[in-house]
Amino acid sequence: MPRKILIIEDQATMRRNVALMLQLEGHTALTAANGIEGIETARRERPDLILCDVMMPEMDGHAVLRALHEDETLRGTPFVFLTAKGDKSDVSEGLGLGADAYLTKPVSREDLLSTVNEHLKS
Amino acid sequence: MKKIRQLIWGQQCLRALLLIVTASAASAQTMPDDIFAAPLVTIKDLNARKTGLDRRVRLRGALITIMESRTLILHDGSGAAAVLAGDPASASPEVAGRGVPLPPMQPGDVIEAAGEVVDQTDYNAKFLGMVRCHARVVGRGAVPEPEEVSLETFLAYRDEARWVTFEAVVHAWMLQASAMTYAAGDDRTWTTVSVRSPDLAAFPKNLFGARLRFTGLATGLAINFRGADMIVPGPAFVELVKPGRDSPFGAPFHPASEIAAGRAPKGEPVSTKGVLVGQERTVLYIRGEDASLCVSLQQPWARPGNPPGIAYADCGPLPALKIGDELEVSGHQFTTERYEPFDLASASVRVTGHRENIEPVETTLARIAAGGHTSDLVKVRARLLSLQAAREKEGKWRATLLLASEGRRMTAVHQSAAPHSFETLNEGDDVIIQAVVDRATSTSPRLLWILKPSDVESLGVSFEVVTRRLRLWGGIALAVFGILGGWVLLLRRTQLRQARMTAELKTAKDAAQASERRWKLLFEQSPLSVQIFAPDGRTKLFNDAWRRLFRLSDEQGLAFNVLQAPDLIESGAVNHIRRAFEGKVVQVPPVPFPVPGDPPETRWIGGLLYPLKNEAGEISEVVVIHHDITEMKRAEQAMLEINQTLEKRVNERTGELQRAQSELRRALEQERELGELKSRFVTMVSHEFRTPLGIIMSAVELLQHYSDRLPEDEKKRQLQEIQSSTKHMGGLMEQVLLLGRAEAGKLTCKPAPLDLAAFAERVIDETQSITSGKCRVTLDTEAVPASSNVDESLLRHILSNLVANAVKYSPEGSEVTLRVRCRGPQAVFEVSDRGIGIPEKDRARLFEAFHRCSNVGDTPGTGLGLVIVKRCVELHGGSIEVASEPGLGSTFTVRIPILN
Repeated sequence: MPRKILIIEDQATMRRNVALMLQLEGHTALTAANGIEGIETARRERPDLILCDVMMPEMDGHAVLRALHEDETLRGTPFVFLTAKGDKSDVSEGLGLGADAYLTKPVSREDLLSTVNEHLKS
Repeated sequence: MKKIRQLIWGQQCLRALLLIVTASAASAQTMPDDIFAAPLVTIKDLNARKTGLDRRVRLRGALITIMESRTLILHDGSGAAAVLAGDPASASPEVAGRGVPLPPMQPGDVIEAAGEVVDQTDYNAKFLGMVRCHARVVGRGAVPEPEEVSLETFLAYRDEARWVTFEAVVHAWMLQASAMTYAAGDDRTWTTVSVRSPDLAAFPKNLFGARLRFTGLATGLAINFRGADMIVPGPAFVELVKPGRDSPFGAPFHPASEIAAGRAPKGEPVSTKGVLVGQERTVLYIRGEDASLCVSLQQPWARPGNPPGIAYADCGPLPALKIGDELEVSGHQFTTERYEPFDLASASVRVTGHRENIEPVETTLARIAAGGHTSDLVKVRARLLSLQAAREKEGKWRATLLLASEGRRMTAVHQSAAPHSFETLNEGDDVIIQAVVDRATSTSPRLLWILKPSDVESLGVSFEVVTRRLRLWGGIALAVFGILGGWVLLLRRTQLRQARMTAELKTAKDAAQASERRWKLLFEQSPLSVQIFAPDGRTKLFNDAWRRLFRLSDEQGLAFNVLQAPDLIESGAVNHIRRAFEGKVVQVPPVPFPVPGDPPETRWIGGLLYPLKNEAGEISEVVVIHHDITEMKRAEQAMLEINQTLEKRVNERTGELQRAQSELRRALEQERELGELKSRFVTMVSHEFRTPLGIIMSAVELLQHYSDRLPEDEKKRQLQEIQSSTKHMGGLMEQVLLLGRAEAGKLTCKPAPLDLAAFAERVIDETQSITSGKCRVTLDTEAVPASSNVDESLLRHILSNLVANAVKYSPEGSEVTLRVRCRGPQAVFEVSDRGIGIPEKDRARLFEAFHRCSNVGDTPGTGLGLVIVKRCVELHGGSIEVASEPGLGSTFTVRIPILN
């Protein structure tokens, strides 16, 4: 069953490739180039899952997550960080904020898809 | 008969010993028990204290009897001992014995007992034995027979105990806690025997003079006054040989003379009568019809060998007797020297009447010395030669009066609580003394006992003394008569007196001269400087110490006026000094005083001034004793200097330490910052690598998994992404490595001659080639020499980065200018573009690693280029500036010194 996934990523190639991969897997991929755009898209489109980078200009991934959690209707949407920040402290910080999963770049297709599918089910 | 009994006894002992040895061998195999593992000792060693106190030991012996269910009397051939099963600390025998049960046993059983050695005081006796004993029966032997001994023999036992038997006549008895203590004796001595019995009421009361046989343990120890010489286990060991009376009185009567002559039967009770003429504690002097007697009262609980004070301490009230009482006396005579002073010992008395006015017998010392009036009250007249008082035991005083009469001398003694009871007596007095005559013994001469101080009466100076004095006075009277009789003698006497006065005068003069000499020497040789002033302040006298101190001639010294000395006026000391001239004692504090010499010096001199007053109370002189504290001052100064030096050094050192500490803190701070920087750098590098890696990964996986579904141009695009990301990573890596080299100090400035214009052109060409001619880059040179000394490599990094950046952030086809100028020793490079510019907020972080401006958008970059530029400029000793207008363009200006 095709699902709606929002990708918030400032790096264009990465954003495009992830979206392409998810589309090829049968999902509907929505993209946003920064945090503010991402939140707007989320409110508008009600995605089934959000994939979000951490280091972004204007508004970073942590701020996005906090903003989404403040929104009653979006609080339950699975939220996965996909980031180049790969230190242990970064991972625990991200999960501590309430993210459902934390993927570090470079991420394999297998890891990406299994994480996405797992959190889509629930 | 006795010999036969001893023979049998010896054989029995041997048999018992044999049995003990056999039994012990058997028991050791069958009853290995820790309690009985204590070392085996003989009773003889135990009693001789060879085993040591408080040790656990083991005895083996034949049981004689059990006393009160808990004390075993054992015999092992070497002696006898009492051992106690239980704890002696407990007052009650029931409690004491608890917890140490005794197995059934009977007399004659061979017993092994293990316990602790103690000096035991029990049964009113002191004996060595064991306590906390465990006992067991190890065999069967015979009940040992007691040894037949005399009282004297068993009283002589020391540090040994025996099982003995003897006969004795009862003098008296005393009921104690759970025993009956008998005083009983033979013809030579008497002793005490303690018979244990639970039923004391059962003892017969008619035993005065009875003959009893006692069988028991002769303890053989030095016995205290409460103790008994022998312990008899029970009434069964006492045998009545001859019955006695129910009263100590009523024994066969003997007149005093017969008793005094020692003709009464020895050891048997005898009685007599008399009047009490003297008493010294428990010793009575009794005048009979034809002789007087000295009688020692019976004290069954007292021992003749003990000190008198202790011996009678606990005996209860003595019979209340008065001089003049008519007495019935019952006592015993002994044959031994021990009872020599007494005609009767161990005696009882009772009063039968009273007689007033007991007259002493008037006699002489000569008659007494010849042996008359023994134990009687006498009155003698004698001259007192000396009187001495000495302290005796127990706070008693003993006054000893040495008397003389008709060429005989004799001592009279009085004992009292007060030190001296004869204040009215003077040596040389004639005295009349009333006293009891004591007999001479082998240890003491015959003496008189004065019963009370008032029994000595002084008659004043004795006639003999008076006669001697009269003779003396008679002589003097004759001489006076002679003097009165002749004026020649008178004249002679006057002459003599004059001569004596002259001599006295001379002696006084000599003494005065000697005194003056002595005072002069004392003054001159005093180590203290002393100066004497007249009341007007002039100097009158000084001593050698003064001369040494002030180093002045006598003329100078005598010219000195203490009230007018300028130094003293100036220092204000004169105000103090003046008070001495007003009659006060004054302490003048030390003041600096110039002292001539080579070199002259200043000495700190203080002084004590005091006025001398004559008989009228006027001040005649003022004396000063100087004290020179110059050396102390110098030492003080030296100490002060040392202190100051030390303080200075401490301060310096403290400063150094504080500086070192702050430097260290700064260094640590720098180190910490550097560490943080490095760790941040590593994090950032990894992040920068992860992004292109992520792209490569995603592209590769798209191509790998979805190749069949991807259109060709998409595939091509992905391959290009891979390529550009790889290239980006390569550049990134190079720049990181370059920075790493710079940090490691491997990037150095090595100036060499370089044609700057030509070099700049090469850089532009290279950049144009890399950027595919995106922008037009122009070179503008001004006053650039053909050769400048710069580091080509550093300059290449600087310029190529700046030019490449300018091109990268400029719109296609726009112009970029590289201007090169030389200003004196400085080369100035300006790179200008018309690109996107640098936003204000990013200016501060422009040279931070991995920081990219907010307006770069998708323009690729590592964020390291400007970092490298700045590092290279610094290495070259130059500077870099930025001027920028967002949207209009930027100009980077680099100034580097041209090195020689």
